[in-house]
Amino acid sequence: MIVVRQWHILLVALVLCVLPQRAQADEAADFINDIGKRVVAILSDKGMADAAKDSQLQMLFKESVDVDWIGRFVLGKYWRTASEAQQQRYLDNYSGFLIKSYTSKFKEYTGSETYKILDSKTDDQGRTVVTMELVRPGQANVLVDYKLRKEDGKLRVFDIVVEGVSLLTTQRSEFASVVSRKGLDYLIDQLQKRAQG
Amino acid sequence: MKYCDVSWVCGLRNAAMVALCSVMLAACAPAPEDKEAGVLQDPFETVNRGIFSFNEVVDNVVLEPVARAYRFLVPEYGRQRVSNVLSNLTMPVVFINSVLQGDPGNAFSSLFSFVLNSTFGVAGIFDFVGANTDLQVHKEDFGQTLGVWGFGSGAYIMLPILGPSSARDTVGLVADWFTDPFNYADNEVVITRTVLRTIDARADTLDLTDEVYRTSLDPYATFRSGYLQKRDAMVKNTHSQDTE
Repeated sequence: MIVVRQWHILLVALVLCVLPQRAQADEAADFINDIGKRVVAILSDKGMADAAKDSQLQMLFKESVDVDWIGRFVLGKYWRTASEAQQQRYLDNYSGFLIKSYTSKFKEYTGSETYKILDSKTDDQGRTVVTMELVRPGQANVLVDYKLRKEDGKLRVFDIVVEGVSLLTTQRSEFASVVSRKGLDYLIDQLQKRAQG
Repeated sequence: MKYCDVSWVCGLRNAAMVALCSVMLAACAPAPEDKEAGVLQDPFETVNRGIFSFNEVVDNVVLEPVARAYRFLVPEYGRQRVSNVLSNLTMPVVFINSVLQGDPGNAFSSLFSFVLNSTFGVAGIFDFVGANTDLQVHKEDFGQTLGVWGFGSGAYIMLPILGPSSARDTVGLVADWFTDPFNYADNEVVITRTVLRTIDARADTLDLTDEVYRTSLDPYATFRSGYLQKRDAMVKNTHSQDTE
């Protein structure tokens, strides 16, 4: 039965095509879920000092988020025109700035916030979006999309979209505005100040 | 119209409003593909930044302290009741815009929710529908309707007191003002509602603005980008929006 065989080929092709994407979507959902669990574990550990919590969260952020890539992306066209020394100084301070602005958010954790993973999808370019809902008692739920992709076989987050507002898009716009008005060195100084302050 | 006593003045004003809106909409070409920096969308940046600074002063002196006092003095339960009433009052506008957008699902949800919450929910104090059904109402306004009809957001506009907007969304604000049946109530009602809406909205955004001022190197640019992205997501309904 030729028709049946053709169907089989089609089916196999379809499965081969879809399976890796499905697998990565599941893997990414597990990856985000695992990070979520570790963050909650760190935050709810009563025996740990605040400084230790901070450094653990920072380490977790660094290994799961592609900070350097994000840094280069959000600087946009100014990355290409920057000198090598500026690029280096920028990346050093950007990573400190980004990590700090995200990990200090966790200070608001009260123990009653929870999260659920609603969805995970991989597109044909290997980018996965994991959608998470943060549930905060007495406040509106927040939808967060984590965008991930694989690099050297390792999943990493490259954008965080909160209620439709993307870290990449917002920061790129913000940095372009700062650099065009006050120059790249001013931006780097400000990042340094925020990273340390 | 209670707030317009002399008919020819009223007519003239409406005509002027329509003319202004047409001009503004004509400038709302579909959004450019390259959204680098959002700078392209802000031809009035100098003026906008001036208004932004003015708004910051007003916010620091009046809005923010009032919103913080409100959050401090009125318990969560009470604030939720106020939010519910205000949200319920927006349902007619949500209904109209859902119809205009060709979204019968949301049109039904908003109508159903308005009727039941106004009655069983005691003038919307209690979210009867939210508590008893899985029905979700997306907040829809005329700015979003224009977006669904293919208008881009046009130039970014910083409105005095009201804050971030765009050419398209400013037209939307005006249209929604006229289609909102509760704006034809007594002046006292309209004013009270406007004041409560302002406080309620500011109290809701305190965490957000704190966050922006804590992390942003250029709050004006951050609010601009955030506003345009958020509105874009709302037009596409890519994320479920809570009703006000």
